[in-house]
Amino acid sequence: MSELLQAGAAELARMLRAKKVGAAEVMQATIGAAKQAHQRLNCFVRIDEEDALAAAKAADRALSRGSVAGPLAGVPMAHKDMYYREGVPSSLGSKIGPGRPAPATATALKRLDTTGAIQFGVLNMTEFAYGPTGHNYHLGHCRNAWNPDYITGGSSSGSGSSVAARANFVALGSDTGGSIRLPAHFCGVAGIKPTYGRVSRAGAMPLSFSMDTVGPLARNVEDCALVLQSIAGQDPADPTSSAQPVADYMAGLSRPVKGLRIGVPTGYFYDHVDPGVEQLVRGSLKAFTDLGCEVVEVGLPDIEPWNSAGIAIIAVEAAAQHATWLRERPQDYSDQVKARLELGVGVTGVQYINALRLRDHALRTWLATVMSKVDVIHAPVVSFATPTIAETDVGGGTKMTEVLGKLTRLMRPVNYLGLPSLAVPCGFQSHGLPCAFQLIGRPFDEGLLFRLGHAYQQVTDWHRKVPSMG
Amino acid sequence: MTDLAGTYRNLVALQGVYLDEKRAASAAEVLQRQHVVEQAATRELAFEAEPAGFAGTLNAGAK
Repeated sequence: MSELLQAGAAELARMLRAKKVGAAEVMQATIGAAKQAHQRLNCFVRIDEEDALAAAKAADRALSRGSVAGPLAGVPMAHKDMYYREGVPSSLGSKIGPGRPAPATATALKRLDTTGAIQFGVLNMTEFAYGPTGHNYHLGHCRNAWNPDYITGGSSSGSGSSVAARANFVALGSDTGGSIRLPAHFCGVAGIKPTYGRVSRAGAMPLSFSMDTVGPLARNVEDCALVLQSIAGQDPADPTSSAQPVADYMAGLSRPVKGLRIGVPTGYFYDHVDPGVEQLVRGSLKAFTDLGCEVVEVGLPDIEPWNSAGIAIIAVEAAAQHATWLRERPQDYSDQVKARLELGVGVTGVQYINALRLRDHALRTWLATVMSKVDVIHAPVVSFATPTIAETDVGGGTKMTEVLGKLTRLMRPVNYLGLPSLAVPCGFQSHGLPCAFQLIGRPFDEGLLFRLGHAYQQVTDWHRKVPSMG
Repeated sequence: MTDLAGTYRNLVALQGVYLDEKRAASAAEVLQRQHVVEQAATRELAFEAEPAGFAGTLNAGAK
């Protein structure tokens, strides 16, 4: 692998500004790696080689004149194929998407454009972002860079896979019930699911408007912080975006973490956990203790109903969004996505509204009983060993609900509560697949998650491990 | 097909979505299970609770 592709996005941006490397040279190498990775992993939907190289050459000219100040100037990126560019169809991982030119460019993309980042392609994803495994029956399944027989996690499958393979520096994903954190865990990269409303959803394909969040997957926590810094903040085009001020994540990244209280849940997150996964996740706490953090056990309220309510909300909102196509084009959905949408059609209005009514009570309870005692919660992302693509190929059959429910069990309550969560790689399972922990914070406290995750990555090197692409 | 599955099948058919018996039975079972859990949780909710409170609590929860 080219040396040019080893750096993280923030480091690469510094090298480009210092003119140690050229943007066109980096783009050429990235596109080469992307083509190679795609053959093995099926992680790209499209690579825009000509446009990206032209943009990179323009960035070089601007950098040499000193007229580019963007913090990500010249950094190549490819994103989940659900972020719209005006007039360009997005596949949305589906058979239906390619026929629809996008009405407007996504706010997240516009904001990344202003940083000087160069989008060179779009990435595979689960059909309509509605599935946690990375299977896609229209575009072909996306494969894990550490072993192509294993799942990438979803729905931001290509985002996790391409970044892990060093075929991409940063990828936007989306997280409605784990779709950033699951691929981060399975692929061994960092991923931030921001607080609900922290990043504008305008121009991002909707799945569940009450639960959808937009965030990056990247090679390390610093890159996640830099990208979230660039895309976060209120947006008139998204009425649900928050007016809360965006903290200076990069400035806070290197502040000491000594004395911070890290909560380890005594229930739910460690119910039925695989011993190998538990060992890795609990083992990562030692680094925090060594850094001077205080690790304390925390009892949790009963989360199970919140998970269940989250399922009902997503199911109904997704079914409503898809109602017309589901009636008129049912044959254009894969069996699994269709089965899940059908489930949403049958949830009653009373059940849906009660799931929403319970949400405020749940968040108040969580803040009062959990976050009053600690600064963050540290927990597994997934409670079992990474499965293969074949093992989780359940389609829309009777095992679907059980398999998908197991995968998202530790994810969805966090979406339901609207809280930020950062997935950070913390080692490898016995079969060689990566493992991550998640740090769950108070609302809008992404800065603290970055600070802790970055501190962890200063004393560990899991994020520097690269899969062999031979 | 059970009565419950049949009812479910008719309910979604009213909305223009048609399921085979097996799919209807499976979906009805899943929904019933979820409903039991949620019903128990919402029983404790104040009569006045409304969904709109969530955004305010989220914003107020910031440090």
